Amino acid sequence: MSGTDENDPDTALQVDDLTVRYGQVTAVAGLSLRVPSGSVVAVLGANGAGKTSTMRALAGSIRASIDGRARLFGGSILGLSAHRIAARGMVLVPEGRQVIAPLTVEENLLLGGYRQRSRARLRELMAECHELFPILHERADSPAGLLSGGEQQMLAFGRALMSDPRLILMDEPSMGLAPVMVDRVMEAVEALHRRGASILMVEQNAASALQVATHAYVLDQGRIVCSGTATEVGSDPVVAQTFLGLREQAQAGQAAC
Amino acid sequence: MLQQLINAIVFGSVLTLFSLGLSLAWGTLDVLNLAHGAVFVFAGFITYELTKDSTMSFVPTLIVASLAAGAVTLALELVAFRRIRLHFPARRQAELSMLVVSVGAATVIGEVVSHQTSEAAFSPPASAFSIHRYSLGGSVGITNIQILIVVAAIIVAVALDQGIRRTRYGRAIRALAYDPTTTQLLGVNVGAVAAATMFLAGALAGLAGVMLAIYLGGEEVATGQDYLLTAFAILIVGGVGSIRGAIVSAYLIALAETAVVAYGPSQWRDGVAFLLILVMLLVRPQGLFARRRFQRA
Amino acid sequence: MARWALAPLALIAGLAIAACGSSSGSSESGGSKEASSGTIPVTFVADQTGLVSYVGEKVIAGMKLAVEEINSSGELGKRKIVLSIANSNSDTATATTQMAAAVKSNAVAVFGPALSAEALATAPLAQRAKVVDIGTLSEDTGFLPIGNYIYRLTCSQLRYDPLIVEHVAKLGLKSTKIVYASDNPTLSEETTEHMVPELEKAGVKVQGTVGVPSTTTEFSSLATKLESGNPESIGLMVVGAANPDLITALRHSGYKGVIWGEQSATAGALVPAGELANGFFYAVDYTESLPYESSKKFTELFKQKHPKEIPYGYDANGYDAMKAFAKAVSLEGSGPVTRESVLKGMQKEAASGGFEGASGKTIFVGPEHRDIAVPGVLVEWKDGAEHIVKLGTPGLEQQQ
Repeated sequence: MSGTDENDPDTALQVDDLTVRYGQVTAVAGLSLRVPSGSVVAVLGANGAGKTSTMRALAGSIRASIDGRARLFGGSILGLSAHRIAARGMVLVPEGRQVIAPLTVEENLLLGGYRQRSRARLRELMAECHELFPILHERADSPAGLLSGGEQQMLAFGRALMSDPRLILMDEPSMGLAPVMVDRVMEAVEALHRRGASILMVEQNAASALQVATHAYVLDQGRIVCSGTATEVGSDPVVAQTFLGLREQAQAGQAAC
Repeated sequence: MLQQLINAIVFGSVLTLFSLGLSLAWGTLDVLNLAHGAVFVFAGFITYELTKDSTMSFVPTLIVASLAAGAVTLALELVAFRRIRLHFPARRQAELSMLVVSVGAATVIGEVVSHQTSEAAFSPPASAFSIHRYSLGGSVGITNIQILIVVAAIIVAVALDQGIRRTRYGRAIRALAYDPTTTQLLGVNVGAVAAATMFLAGALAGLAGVMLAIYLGGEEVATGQDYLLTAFAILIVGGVGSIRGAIVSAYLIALAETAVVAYGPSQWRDGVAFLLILVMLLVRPQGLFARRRFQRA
Repeated sequence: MARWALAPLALIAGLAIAACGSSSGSSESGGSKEASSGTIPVTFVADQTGLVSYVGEKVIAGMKLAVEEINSSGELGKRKIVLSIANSNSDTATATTQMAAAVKSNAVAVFGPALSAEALATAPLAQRAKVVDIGTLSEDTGFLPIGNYIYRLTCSQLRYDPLIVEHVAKLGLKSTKIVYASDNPTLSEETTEHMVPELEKAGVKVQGTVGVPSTTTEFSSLATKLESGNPESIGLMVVGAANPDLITALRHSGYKGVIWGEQSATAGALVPAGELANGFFYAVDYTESLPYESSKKFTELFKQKHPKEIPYGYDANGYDAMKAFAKAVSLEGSGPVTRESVLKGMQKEAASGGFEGASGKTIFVGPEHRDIAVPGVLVEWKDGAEHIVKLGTPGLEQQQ
C-alpha cells in the first residue's frame, strides 16, 4: 500500500508493488515509484531490467498478468484499456517512436490530438508543436516514415504533446539515435517539462537522462535497487560504476543506495 | 457502342459499391471477409421480405436493409473477428482464422437465406421500385435504377475516399491499419473504430445488395460468390487497402468484362478477372495504386 | 501465402443442374434376404441436403405421395411399400456410400440421386447387386448402358426441342438468337447440335449463339449484344436465376421480341422477373393444368397434402418413378416381391406400353426400353403461372 495521500495534489503518478508476469517469467517484481507533479523522473536500468514492461503496463498496452496499484492523479489506472488511460491525461511515447509511417507528419500530429474535440484547441496545440519542433512544420506533408530517427522522435514528442497531457511516459527516447540527436532529444524533454507536463522516462543512457531528470530510480531485474534525486542517484558509486560507467565519480560520490 | 459504354459504367458502379466494403475491411483490419457476398445477398433478401407484400416503400427499405447488413457484419466482428485478433497476436494466424470464420459465416447466412426462400431465386416485386427506361436517342437508353446505382456509387466512392483521407475517423482507420497498438496508445478506441468500420463495410454491401436486388431479375445465394471473385480481382488490381485503387479498377474491370461480352467470346467473361489478377501479380504485385511500403511495427 | 491465393476459396460455385429431378423406385425381393411378409422395402438415395436439395426435397415429396396412394388404394393387394430415404447430400462420395448400403439392405429396388456424377457413380453398384435402379439424371448418355437393371425416368429437354422449334416457327418468327450456359455441357451441346439445326430446318434464321458462364447475374451488356441485329426472338438455354435475370435485362434494355427457354425455367424460377416474364414459353414434363386423368389425380392429391404449394415437374417425377415401380410389382402378380421379380415386372411394363402417371401416358423407349419417356407439354408463363400451349407426345424424339 502507498503511504501517500490518495488525493495528494503533489503526486502525478503513484505506483505500488507493480508486478508484471509473462506466463512463468516475472519481468517486474513489486516495483513502487512516485512521480511528483512537475518533476522529470528517470528510471535507469540495463536491457531487460523491466523498464519497457513497466511503461507498457502503466499505459495499458501489454498482454501480461499485472498486479499492484497505480494511481494517476489519484485515480486507479491499472487494468484500464490504453485509450481510457490516454483519456485521463497520460500519454506514452513508445520505445522506437512508433510513428504511423504511411500517415503524414501533420496527420500523425492530428492523430495525437484525437481526443481533442475542440478545433480551436487543436489549432493552438498544433501551433505550439510547430514552435517547439519547427521540423514538424517544415515536413508537415511528408510521410512520417521518411523522417530520420531523430525527426521521428520529435514527431513522437509532438504527437504526445497534441493530447495536451499532464503526464508523459517516455520509453527509451534516445535509443538508436546519434549522440548529437540524443542531446536534441533531451532538450526536447526539457522543453516539454517547461511547458508543464510531468515526465516519467526510462532510459539506458543514464548520463543523458540524469542531466534532465529531477528524480531517478535504478531498476535491476524487475526491482528498484536505488532511488533519490537525480543528483543523489547520479553520484552513487555503485550506480556510477554499473550504469554510468563513471569510475572517477564512483570514488568521489556518496552512497545513495 | 454508346449503350455498351453505359452498360460498363453501370456495371462498374455495381462493382464499386460491392468492393469498397471488402476493401475497407481487408485494408484496415486484415479481415478478408468471405461473408461479404453472403451479406450482400442477405440485404437483397431483406429487401425482398420487406417489399414482397408491398408493405414498405423503397427508401425506408434501402435504409433498413443496409443497416441490417451492417448489423450482421458488426455481429461477426464482435463475436468472432475481435476475439480472434485478441487471441492471435500474430497477424498471419489471425488473418487465416478470420478467413476461415468468414467462410463459415457465409455458409450460415447462405443457408438461412436459402431456407427462407426455399432455395429459389428471389426478387422484390415490381411495385417496390417502378423501373422506367429513358431513351437517349436511337436504341440507346438508361433506366432509372441504373442512374440510381451510378449516382449512389459516385456518392459513396467520393464520401469514403474523402472521409478516409480527411476526417478524424479516417485517420484513425489508417493508423489502425498500420499499427493498432500505437493507435490505441494515442487515445483511439480501436475496438470501437474496428466495429464501426466493419459495420460500414457491411452496410455498403447492403446498399449494393438492395440496389442489385431491384436491378437484377433475381438473386440467389450463389450471386454473392460471383461478385466476390470479381471483387478480389478489383482489390488486387487496385492495390490492397487503396480506396481509389478499388474504385478505378472496378470501372476498369467492368469495361474489360463488358468489352469481352460485347465484342468477344462472352463465355470468357469470368476469365477476365482471373487474367487481370494474374497479370497484376506478375507485373505489378502491389497493384495500380499501392502506397509506399513501410515496414510495419 | 499471398492473400490473393485464398481467393479461390470463395468459389464455392453453384453447380446448377440442368433441369430435371429424377425419381427412382425400387423394391427389393430378397434373394437371400427375405423381406418381412407384406412389406416391399425400397430405398431412395436422395439429394435431401446440399447443392440440389431443392430438387431432392420435391422428388421425395412426390414419391411419398405415390407411396401413400398406392398403399391405401390396395393396388398391390395387402402388400405395402416401405420407402427409406438415404441422404446423398448432393455429393458423389456420400451417394456412393449410401447406395452401397442400400444394395446390401433388403431393398428390392433403389432410386438413384439427381446429379449426373452421383448417378453414374451409384448405378454400377445397383447393377452388380442385381437390383433395379430407377435413375434420376437428365441426359447423360453413359447412364443407361451401365446395365440391364438401370432405368431412368427423366426429363430430357432433347425430347422437347421439336415442341419449341415447332412453336417458334408457328408464331411466324423469322429469326432468333440463343444464349446458353457455356459451362453446362448438356445445354451447350443441345444448343449447337440440336436447336440450331432444327430451327434452321424449320425456316428460322439463327443469327447467333452466345455462351455465358452460369455464374453471371449482370446481363446488361449481354442484352445489348443479343438485341443487336433485331432478332425476332431470343432463346435462353440457361439455368437457375439466369432465366429471370436475362429476361429482366432484355426487357429493361428495351427488347420487344419473343423470349423462349427450356425447362429449368419451371418450378417458379421465373417468379422473380414478375410480369416481365409474361409470354415466355418452354417445355416441361408436367404442369399443374395437364388434362390427363392420371395427372389430375396427382395434382389433386398433391394439393390435398400441400395446400399452399404448386406442384411442379420434380414432384411429378418422384411420383411417376414410384408409380412405374408399383406397376412393375403389380404385373408380377401377388407373390413375394424379389429383386428379380421387380426386373421382370419392369420388362413386362415396358413391353405392355408403360403406365399413366402425373405427367400423363408414359412409355419405355430406347434400345432396351429402359428409358421412361413422358409426353411433355409446351407452356407459356403468364402472371405467375404456366399455361398449356401444346401437349406433347411421349417419345417424340424417337419418331424423328
